[in-house]
Amino acid sequence: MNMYSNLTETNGTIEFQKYPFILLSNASLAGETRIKPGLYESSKVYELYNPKIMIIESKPQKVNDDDNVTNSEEFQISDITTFMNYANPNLSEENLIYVVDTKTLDQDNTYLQYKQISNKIEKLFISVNIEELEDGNTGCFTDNLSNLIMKYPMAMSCISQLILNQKINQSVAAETLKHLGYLKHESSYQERLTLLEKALSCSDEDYRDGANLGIASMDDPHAIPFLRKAINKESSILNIKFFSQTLKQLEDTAKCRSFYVA
Amino acid sequence: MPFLLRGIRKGKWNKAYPEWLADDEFPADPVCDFNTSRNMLSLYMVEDLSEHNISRTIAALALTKIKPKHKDHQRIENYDYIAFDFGLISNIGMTLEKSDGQTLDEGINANHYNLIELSVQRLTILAREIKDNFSDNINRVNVKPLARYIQNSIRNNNLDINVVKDFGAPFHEQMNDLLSGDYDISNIACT
Repeated sequence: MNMYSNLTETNGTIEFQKYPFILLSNASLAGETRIKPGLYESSKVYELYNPKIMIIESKPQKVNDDDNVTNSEEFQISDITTFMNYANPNLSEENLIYVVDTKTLDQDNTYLQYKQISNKIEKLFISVNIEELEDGNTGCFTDNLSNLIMKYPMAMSCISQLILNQKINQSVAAETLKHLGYLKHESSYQERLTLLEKALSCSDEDYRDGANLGIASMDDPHAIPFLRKAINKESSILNIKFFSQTLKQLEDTAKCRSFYVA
Repeated sequence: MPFLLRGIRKGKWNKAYPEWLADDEFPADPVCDFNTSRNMLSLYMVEDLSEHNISRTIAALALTKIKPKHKDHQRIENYDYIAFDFGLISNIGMTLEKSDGQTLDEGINANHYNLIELSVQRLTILAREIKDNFSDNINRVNVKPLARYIQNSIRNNNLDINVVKDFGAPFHEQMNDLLSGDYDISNIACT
Protein backbone atom coordinates (compact mmCIF):
# COMPACT_ATOMS: atom_id res chain seq x y z
CA MET A 1 0.00 0.00 0.00
CA ASN A 2 1.15 3.47 -0.79
CA MET A 3 0.96 4.66 2.78
CA TYR A 4 3.78 2.32 3.70
CA SER A 5 6.17 3.66 1.08
CA ASN A 6 8.26 5.75 3.43
CA LEU A 7 9.24 2.79 5.50
CA THR A 8 12.95 2.62 6.07
CA GLU A 9 14.12 -0.92 6.25
CA THR A 10 17.69 -2.08 6.25
CA ASN A 11 18.72 -5.67 6.60
CA GLY A 12 15.43 -6.53 8.14
CA THR A 13 15.61 -3.79 10.72
CA ILE A 14 12.98 -1.11 10.77
CA GLU A 15 14.38 2.30 11.47
CA PHE A 16 11.81 4.56 13.01
CA GLN A 17 12.42 8.18 12.74
CA LYS A 18 10.90 10.69 15.12
CA TYR A 19 7.32 10.29 14.07
CA PRO A 20 4.54 10.43 16.59
CA PHE A 21 2.70 7.34 15.43
CA ILE A 22 3.80 3.94 14.36
CA LEU A 23 1.97 1.08 12.77
CA LEU A 24 3.03 -2.51 13.06
CA SER A 25 2.03 -5.24 10.71
CA ASN A 26 1.65 -8.93 10.19
CA ALA A 27 4.20 -8.58 7.46
CA SER A 28 6.82 -7.89 10.04
CA LEU A 29 5.85 -11.05 11.86
CA ALA A 30 6.15 -13.08 8.73
CA GLY A 31 9.62 -11.82 7.87
CA GLU A 32 12.77 -11.31 9.84
CA THR A 33 11.99 -7.73 10.65
CA ARG A 34 13.43 -6.41 13.86
CA ILE A 35 12.12 -3.47 15.72
CA LYS A 36 14.17 -1.04 17.69
CA PRO A 37 12.78 -0.85 21.18
CA GLY A 38 13.67 2.66 22.16
CA LEU A 39 10.72 4.22 20.47
CA TYR A 40 8.35 2.10 22.41
CA GLU A 41 9.51 2.88 25.87
CA SER A 42 6.70 5.28 26.53
CA SER A 43 4.35 3.96 23.97
CA LYS A 44 0.78 3.19 24.44
CA VAL A 45 -1.62 1.65 22.04
CA TYR A 46 -3.50 4.53 20.59
CA GLU A 47 -6.28 2.81 18.72
CA LEU A 48 -7.02 0.10 16.29
CA TYR A 49 -6.76 1.36 12.78
CA ASN A 50 -8.52 -1.54 11.22
CA PRO A 51 -8.90 -5.10 12.42
CA LYS A 52 -5.30 -5.82 11.52
CA ILE A 53 -3.57 -2.53 12.06
CA MET A 54 -3.04 -0.70 15.25
CA ILE A 55 -1.62 2.71 15.84
CA ILE A 56 0.79 3.21 18.63
CA GLU A 57 1.43 6.57 20.10
CA SER A 58 5.07 6.87 20.71
CA LYS A 59 7.19 9.59 22.13
CA PRO A 60 10.29 10.24 20.08
CA GLN A 61 13.18 8.88 22.03
CA LYS A 62 16.58 10.31 22.56
CA VAL A 63 18.23 10.89 19.29
CA ASN A 64 21.81 11.61 18.51
CA ASP A 65 23.04 14.33 16.26
CA ASP A 66 22.20 12.30 13.19
CA ASP A 67 18.62 11.92 14.32
CA ASN A 68 19.11 8.21 14.71
CA VAL A 69 17.66 6.28 17.57
CA THR A 70 20.38 5.85 20.12
CA ASN A 71 19.13 2.67 21.66
CA SER A 72 20.96 -0.02 19.78
CA GLU A 73 19.15 -2.90 21.38
CA GLU A 74 16.63 -4.53 19.11
CA PHE A 75 13.50 -6.47 19.75
CA GLN A 76 13.40 -9.71 17.87
CA ILE A 77 10.02 -10.40 16.38
CA SER A 78 9.64 -13.18 18.90
CA ASP A 79 9.87 -10.54 21.60
CA ILE A 80 7.09 -8.45 20.21
CA THR A 81 4.54 -10.04 22.48
CA THR A 82 6.56 -8.91 25.45
CA PHE A 83 6.50 -5.44 24.08
CA MET A 84 2.82 -5.59 23.28
CA ASN A 85 1.98 -6.78 26.75
CA TYR A 86 3.78 -3.75 27.98
CA ALA A 87 1.93 -1.49 25.57
CA ASN A 88 -1.49 -3.09 25.96
CA PRO A 89 -2.01 -6.55 27.44
CA ASN A 90 -5.32 -6.90 25.59
CA LEU A 91 -3.74 -6.98 22.18
CA SER A 92 -2.31 -10.07 20.57
CA GLU A 93 0.22 -10.60 17.82
CA GLU A 94 -2.65 -10.98 15.39
CA ASN A 95 -3.21 -7.27 15.71
CA LEU A 96 0.26 -6.36 14.56
CA ILE A 97 0.47 -5.13 11.04
CA TYR A 98 3.33 -3.27 9.52
CA VAL A 99 5.82 -0.78 10.69
CA VAL A 100 5.18 2.54 9.12
CA ASP A 101 5.45 6.17 9.97
CA THR A 102 2.46 8.42 10.16
CA LYS A 103 4.19 11.16 8.28
CA THR A 104 3.14 9.18 5.25
CA LEU A 105 -0.33 8.81 6.63
CA ASP A 106 -0.56 12.50 7.06
CA GLN A 107 0.42 13.07 3.46
CA ASP A 108 -2.77 11.56 2.15
CA ASN A 109 -4.84 12.51 5.18
CA THR A 110 -5.71 8.92 5.85
CA TYR A 111 -5.28 9.20 9.55
CA LEU A 112 -7.12 12.50 9.73
CA GLN A 113 -10.01 11.01 7.77
CA TYR A 114 -10.01 8.02 10.02
CA LYS A 115 -10.29 10.21 13.10
CA GLN A 116 -13.13 12.23 11.59
CA ILE A 117 -15.10 9.16 10.60
CA SER A 118 -14.40 7.55 13.93
CA ASN A 119 -15.82 10.60 15.68
CA LYS A 120 -18.96 10.54 13.55
CA ILE A 121 -19.55 6.89 14.34
CA GLU A 122 -18.90 7.31 18.03
CA LYS A 123 -21.37 10.21 18.08
CA LEU A 124 -23.95 8.07 16.33
CA PHE A 125 -23.55 5.27 18.85
CA ILE A 126 -23.71 7.63 21.80
CA SER A 127 -26.68 9.64 20.56
CA VAL A 128 -28.94 6.70 19.80
CA ASN A 129 -32.09 6.42 21.90
CA ILE A 130 -31.71 2.96 23.37
CA GLU A 131 -35.34 2.63 24.44
CA GLU A 132 -36.52 3.43 20.92
CA LEU A 133 -34.00 1.01 19.52
CA GLU A 134 -35.19 -1.78 21.80
CA ASP A 135 -38.77 -1.01 20.82
CA GLY A 136 -37.87 -1.67 17.22
CA ASN A 137 -37.71 1.95 16.07
CA THR A 138 -34.36 1.47 14.43
CA GLY A 139 -34.93 3.38 11.20
CA CYS A 140 -33.05 6.56 11.94
CA PHE A 141 -30.11 4.82 13.56
CA THR A 142 -29.72 2.19 10.87
CA ASP A 143 -30.11 4.78 8.11
CA ASN A 144 -27.30 6.86 9.55
CA LEU A 145 -25.16 3.79 10.06
CA SER A 146 -25.75 2.65 6.48
CA ASN A 147 -24.95 6.09 5.12
CA LEU A 148 -21.65 6.23 6.98
CA ILE A 149 -20.62 2.78 5.79
CA MET A 150 -21.55 3.53 2.20
CA LYS A 151 -19.94 6.97 2.18
CA TYR A 152 -16.68 6.20 3.94
CA PRO A 153 -14.69 3.06 3.11
CA MET A 154 -12.92 3.38 6.47
CA ALA A 155 -16.16 3.35 8.45
CA MET A 156 -16.14 -0.41 8.86
CA SER A 157 -12.69 -0.23 10.44
CA CYS A 158 -13.99 2.23 13.03
CA ILE A 159 -17.09 0.16 13.71
CA SER A 160 -15.00 -2.99 14.03
CA GLN A 161 -12.77 -1.31 16.58
CA LEU A 162 -15.71 -0.16 18.68
CA ILE A 163 -17.51 -3.49 18.49
CA LEU A 164 -14.55 -5.78 19.09
CA ASN A 165 -13.37 -3.68 21.99
CA GLN A 166 -16.97 -3.80 23.28
CA LYS A 167 -17.04 -0.09 23.84
CA ILE A 168 -20.71 0.48 23.10
CA ASN A 169 -23.98 -0.31 24.79
CA GLN A 170 -25.06 -3.95 24.33
CA SER A 171 -28.38 -3.12 22.69
CA VAL A 172 -26.74 -0.70 20.27
CA ALA A 173 -24.02 -3.22 19.47
CA ALA A 174 -26.52 -6.01 18.92
CA GLU A 175 -28.63 -3.83 16.63
CA THR A 176 -25.52 -2.69 14.76
CA LEU A 177 -24.34 -6.24 14.19
CA LYS A 178 -27.78 -7.33 13.07
CA HIS A 179 -27.97 -4.40 10.68
CA LEU A 180 -24.55 -5.15 9.21
CA GLY A 181 -26.04 -8.43 8.07
CA TYR A 182 -29.04 -6.75 6.45
CA LEU A 183 -27.09 -4.04 4.65
CA LYS A 184 -26.85 -4.31 0.90
CA HIS A 185 -23.44 -2.89 0.09
CA GLU A 186 -21.07 -5.01 -1.91
CA SER A 187 -17.80 -3.19 -1.24
CA SER A 188 -18.10 -3.55 2.55
CA TYR A 189 -19.37 -7.14 2.37
CA GLN A 190 -16.15 -8.87 3.34
CA GLU A 191 -15.39 -6.50 6.21
CA ARG A 192 -18.92 -6.87 7.55
CA LEU A 193 -18.78 -10.64 7.39
CA THR A 194 -15.36 -10.69 9.05
CA LEU A 195 -16.56 -8.47 11.87
CA LEU A 196 -19.65 -10.61 12.43
CA GLU A 197 -17.54 -13.76 12.53
CA LYS A 198 -15.15 -12.20 15.04
CA ALA A 199 -17.97 -10.76 17.15
CA LEU A 200 -19.21 -14.30 17.81
CA SER A 201 -16.29 -14.44 20.23
CA CYS A 202 -17.13 -11.25 22.14
CA SER A 203 -17.47 -11.73 25.86
CA ASP A 204 -20.91 -10.08 25.98
CA GLU A 205 -23.85 -12.37 25.23
CA ASP A 206 -25.89 -9.69 23.44
CA TYR A 207 -22.99 -8.90 21.12
CA ARG A 208 -22.73 -12.58 20.22
CA ASP A 209 -26.46 -12.79 19.64
CA GLY A 210 -26.36 -9.76 17.33
CA ALA A 211 -23.45 -11.29 15.41
CA ASN A 212 -25.41 -14.51 14.96
CA LEU A 213 -28.39 -12.57 13.59
CA GLY A 214 -26.17 -10.66 11.18
CA ILE A 215 -24.60 -13.88 9.96
CA ALA A 216 -28.00 -15.51 9.54
CA SER A 217 -29.06 -12.60 7.38
CA MET A 218 -25.95 -12.69 5.20
CA ASP A 219 -26.43 -16.43 4.80
CA ASP A 220 -22.80 -16.92 3.80
CA PRO A 221 -21.41 -20.44 4.41
CA HIS A 222 -17.99 -18.89 5.03
CA ALA A 223 -19.17 -18.31 8.61
CA ILE A 224 -19.77 -22.04 9.24
CA PRO A 225 -16.45 -22.78 11.00
CA PHE A 226 -16.83 -19.64 13.11
CA LEU A 227 -20.31 -20.68 14.19
CA ARG A 228 -19.12 -24.20 15.03
CA LYS A 229 -16.34 -22.78 17.17
CA ALA A 230 -18.74 -20.32 18.82
CA ILE A 231 -21.22 -23.09 19.64
CA ASN A 232 -18.47 -25.10 21.33
CA LYS A 233 -17.50 -22.11 23.46
CA GLU A 234 -20.97 -20.66 24.09
CA SER A 235 -22.24 -20.54 27.67
CA SER A 236 -25.81 -19.38 26.99
CA ILE A 237 -28.20 -22.25 26.27
CA LEU A 238 -30.39 -20.02 24.15
CA ASN A 239 -27.45 -18.78 22.13
CA ILE A 240 -26.38 -22.38 21.50
CA LYS A 241 -29.88 -23.11 20.26
CA PHE A 242 -30.00 -20.08 17.99
CA PHE A 243 -26.41 -20.41 16.73
CA SER A 244 -27.20 -24.03 15.84
CA GLN A 245 -30.25 -22.92 13.86
CA THR A 246 -28.09 -20.51 11.90
CA LEU A 247 -25.42 -23.17 11.39
CA LYS A 248 -28.03 -25.54 9.97
CA GLN A 249 -29.29 -22.77 7.67
CA LEU A 250 -25.78 -22.05 6.38
CA GLU A 251 -25.03 -25.73 5.87
CA ASP A 252 -28.22 -26.03 3.82
CA THR A 253 -27.20 -22.96 1.83
CA ALA A 254 -23.77 -24.48 1.19
CA LYS A 255 -25.35 -27.73 0.00
CA CYS A 256 -27.74 -25.82 -2.21
CA ARG A 257 -24.95 -23.76 -3.77
CA SER A 258 -22.74 -26.79 -4.38
CA PHE A 259 -25.69 -28.48 -6.05
CA TYR A 260 -26.13 -25.59 -8.45
CA VAL A 261 -22.38 -25.41 -9.11
CA ALA A 262 -22.29 -29.14 -9.83
CA MET B 1 -52.73 -29.30 24.70
CA PRO B 2 -52.52 -26.18 22.54
CA PHE B 3 -50.09 -23.35 23.17
CA LEU B 4 -50.38 -19.62 23.48
CA LEU B 5 -47.78 -17.61 21.65
CA ARG B 6 -46.37 -14.15 22.19
CA GLY B 7 -43.63 -12.29 20.35
CA ILE B 8 -40.76 -11.26 22.63
CA ARG B 9 -37.27 -9.81 22.52
CA LYS B 10 -34.95 -12.66 23.40
CA GLY B 11 -32.50 -10.34 25.13
CA LYS B 12 -35.14 -9.47 27.71
CA TRP B 13 -35.76 -13.08 28.72
CA ASN B 14 -32.52 -14.99 28.58
CA LYS B 15 -30.75 -13.38 31.52
CA ALA B 16 -30.50 -15.10 34.89
CA TYR B 17 -32.21 -13.39 37.82
CA PRO B 18 -29.91 -10.58 38.94
CA GLU B 19 -28.27 -10.86 42.35
CA TRP B 20 -29.83 -7.64 43.62
CA LEU B 21 -33.36 -8.98 43.14
CA ALA B 22 -35.29 -9.73 46.34
CA ASP B 23 -36.97 -13.13 46.64
CA ASP B 24 -40.45 -11.78 46.05
CA GLU B 25 -39.43 -9.57 43.13
CA PHE B 26 -39.29 -10.13 39.41
CA PRO B 27 -37.02 -8.29 36.93
CA ALA B 28 -38.67 -5.60 34.83
CA ASP B 29 -37.20 -6.50 31.44
CA PRO B 30 -39.36 -9.54 30.59
CA VAL B 31 -42.53 -7.73 31.66
CA CYS B 32 -41.68 -4.96 29.16
CA ASP B 33 -42.44 -7.44 26.39
CA PHE B 34 -46.02 -7.66 27.64
CA ASN B 35 -47.40 -4.43 26.24
CA THR B 36 -51.00 -4.25 27.30
CA SER B 37 -53.87 -2.27 25.87
CA ARG B 38 -56.92 -1.53 27.99
CA ASN B 39 -55.42 -3.94 30.54
CA MET B 40 -55.46 -6.77 28.05
CA LEU B 41 -52.62 -8.80 26.59
CA SER B 42 -52.78 -10.12 23.05
CA LEU B 43 -51.97 -13.82 22.54
CA TYR B 44 -52.32 -16.24 19.65
CA MET B 45 -53.19 -19.90 19.99
CA VAL B 46 -51.38 -22.63 18.07
CA GLU B 47 -52.22 -26.33 18.20
CA ASP B 48 -48.59 -27.44 18.54
CA LEU B 49 -45.10 -26.09 17.99
CA SER B 50 -44.18 -28.03 14.87
CA GLU B 51 -42.80 -25.88 12.07
CA HIS B 52 -45.60 -26.97 9.77
CA ASN B 53 -48.21 -25.80 12.24
CA ILE B 54 -46.61 -22.63 13.51
CA SER B 55 -45.14 -21.15 10.33
CA ARG B 56 -48.36 -19.47 9.19
CA THR B 57 -48.84 -17.84 12.58
CA ILE B 58 -45.24 -16.63 12.64
CA ALA B 59 -45.55 -15.17 9.14
CA ALA B 60 -48.67 -13.26 10.14
CA LEU B 61 -47.20 -12.00 13.42
CA ALA B 62 -43.86 -11.01 11.91
CA LEU B 63 -45.62 -8.84 9.35
CA THR B 64 -47.39 -6.92 12.13
CA LYS B 65 -43.97 -5.52 13.08
CA ILE B 66 -43.72 -3.74 9.75
CA LYS B 67 -44.76 -0.19 10.30
CA PRO B 68 -46.99 1.14 7.51
CA LYS B 69 -45.81 4.75 7.78
CA HIS B 70 -42.12 4.13 7.19
CA LYS B 71 -41.90 2.50 3.81
CA ASP B 72 -38.19 3.18 3.46
CA HIS B 73 -37.50 1.15 6.58
CA GLN B 74 -39.83 -1.74 5.95
CA ARG B 75 -38.07 -5.06 6.12
CA ILE B 76 -38.56 -8.35 7.86
CA GLU B 77 -36.54 -9.16 10.93
CA ASN B 78 -35.99 -12.32 12.91
CA TYR B 79 -39.04 -13.20 14.96
CA ASP B 80 -38.44 -14.25 18.57
CA TYR B 81 -41.34 -15.70 20.50
CA ILE B 82 -42.27 -17.65 23.56
CA ALA B 83 -44.95 -20.33 23.70
CA PHE B 84 -46.61 -21.70 26.82
CA ASP B 85 -49.37 -24.17 27.65
CA PHE B 86 -52.87 -22.89 27.07
CA GLY B 87 -53.78 -24.34 30.45
CA LEU B 88 -51.34 -22.12 32.31
CA ILE B 89 -53.79 -19.23 32.19
CA SER B 90 -56.52 -21.05 34.10
CA ASN B 91 -53.93 -22.58 36.43
CA ILE B 92 -52.94 -19.13 37.62
CA GLY B 93 -56.55 -17.95 37.83
CA MET B 94 -56.58 -15.60 34.87
CA THR B 95 -59.13 -15.18 32.13
CA LEU B 96 -58.87 -15.45 28.37
CA GLU B 97 -61.36 -13.87 26.02
CA LYS B 98 -61.56 -14.76 22.37
CA SER B 99 -61.46 -11.82 19.98
CA ASP B 100 -60.33 -11.08 16.44
CA GLY B 101 -56.62 -10.55 15.93
CA GLN B 102 -55.08 -7.74 13.93
CA THR B 103 -52.78 -9.56 11.51
CA LEU B 104 -53.02 -9.69 7.73
CA ASP B 105 -54.13 -13.33 7.94
CA GLU B 106 -57.83 -13.79 8.72
CA GLY B 107 -57.32 -17.43 9.59
CA ILE B 108 -54.75 -16.55 12.22
CA ASN B 109 -56.89 -13.70 13.52
CA ALA B 110 -59.48 -16.31 14.44
CA ASN B 111 -56.97 -17.85 16.85
CA HIS B 112 -56.51 -14.66 18.81
CA TYR B 113 -57.20 -14.28 22.51
CA ASN B 114 -56.99 -11.43 24.95
CA LEU B 115 -55.83 -12.08 28.46
CA ILE B 116 -58.16 -9.73 30.29
CA GLU B 117 -58.42 -7.88 33.60
CA LEU B 118 -54.69 -7.53 33.97
CA SER B 119 -52.97 -5.67 36.76
CA VAL B 120 -49.22 -5.12 37.08
CA GLN B 121 -49.18 -7.81 39.75
CA ARG B 122 -51.01 -10.32 37.54
CA LEU B 123 -48.78 -9.52 34.60
CA THR B 124 -45.74 -10.15 36.78
CA ILE B 125 -47.15 -13.49 37.96
CA LEU B 126 -47.66 -14.51 34.34
CA ALA B 127 -44.16 -13.40 33.33
CA ARG B 128 -42.62 -15.29 36.25
CA GLU B 129 -44.55 -18.47 35.46
CA ILE B 130 -43.47 -18.30 31.84
CA LYS B 131 -39.84 -17.48 32.59
CA ASP B 132 -39.52 -20.19 35.23
CA ASN B 133 -41.35 -22.95 33.38
CA PHE B 134 -41.29 -22.25 29.68
CA SER B 135 -37.87 -20.76 28.93
CA ASP B 136 -37.16 -23.81 26.77
CA ASN B 137 -39.97 -22.60 24.55
CA ILE B 138 -38.22 -19.38 23.62
CA ASN B 139 -37.71 -19.75 19.91
CA ARG B 140 -36.45 -17.74 16.99
CA VAL B 141 -37.19 -17.70 13.30
CA ASN B 142 -34.34 -16.21 11.28
CA VAL B 143 -35.12 -13.97 8.33
CA LYS B 144 -34.46 -16.59 5.69
CA PRO B 145 -37.00 -19.17 6.92
CA LEU B 146 -39.31 -16.29 7.79
CA ALA B 147 -39.24 -15.13 4.17
CA ARG B 148 -40.20 -18.66 3.17
CA TYR B 149 -43.10 -18.68 5.63
CA ILE B 150 -44.35 -15.37 4.27
CA GLN B 151 -43.96 -16.59 0.72
CA ASN B 152 -46.04 -19.68 1.55
CA SER B 153 -48.72 -17.57 3.16
CA ILE B 154 -48.84 -15.37 0.08
CA ARG B 155 -49.03 -18.36 -2.24
CA ASN B 156 -51.79 -19.94 -0.16
CA ASN B 157 -53.77 -16.69 -0.28
CA ASN B 158 -53.69 -16.44 3.51
CA LEU B 159 -52.55 -12.83 3.61
CA ASP B 160 -54.22 -9.62 2.54
CA ILE B 161 -52.16 -9.34 -0.61
CA ASN B 162 -53.03 -5.72 -1.28
CA VAL B 163 -51.48 -4.67 2.01
CA VAL B 164 -48.37 -6.77 1.37
CA LYS B 165 -48.02 -5.35 -2.14
CA ASP B 166 -48.12 -1.89 -0.65
CA PHE B 167 -45.06 -2.49 1.53
CA GLY B 168 -42.02 -0.45 0.55
CA ALA B 169 -39.38 -1.46 -1.95
CA PRO B 170 -36.85 -2.48 0.77
CA PHE B 171 -39.28 -5.18 1.97
CA HIS B 172 -39.75 -6.66 -1.48
CA GLU B 173 -36.04 -6.43 -2.33
CA GLN B 174 -35.16 -8.21 0.90
CA MET B 175 -37.74 -10.92 0.28
CA ASN B 176 -36.38 -11.41 -3.23
CA ASP B 177 -32.81 -11.69 -1.93
CA LEU B 178 -33.71 -14.10 0.85
CA LEU B 179 -35.65 -16.29 -1.53
CA SER B 180 -32.86 -16.21 -4.12
CA GLY B 181 -35.02 -14.51 -6.70
CA ASP B 182 -38.00 -16.81 -6.18
CA TYR B 183 -40.23 -13.98 -5.02
CA ASP B 184 -42.41 -12.05 -7.34
CA ILE B 185 -45.28 -10.52 -5.50
CA SER B 186 -46.80 -8.91 -8.58
CA ASN B 187 -47.06 -12.28 -10.38
CA ILE B 188 -48.54 -13.89 -7.31
CA ALA B 189 -51.04 -11.10 -6.94
CA CYS B 190 -52.18 -11.54 -10.54
CA THR B 191 -52.82 -15.27 -10.25
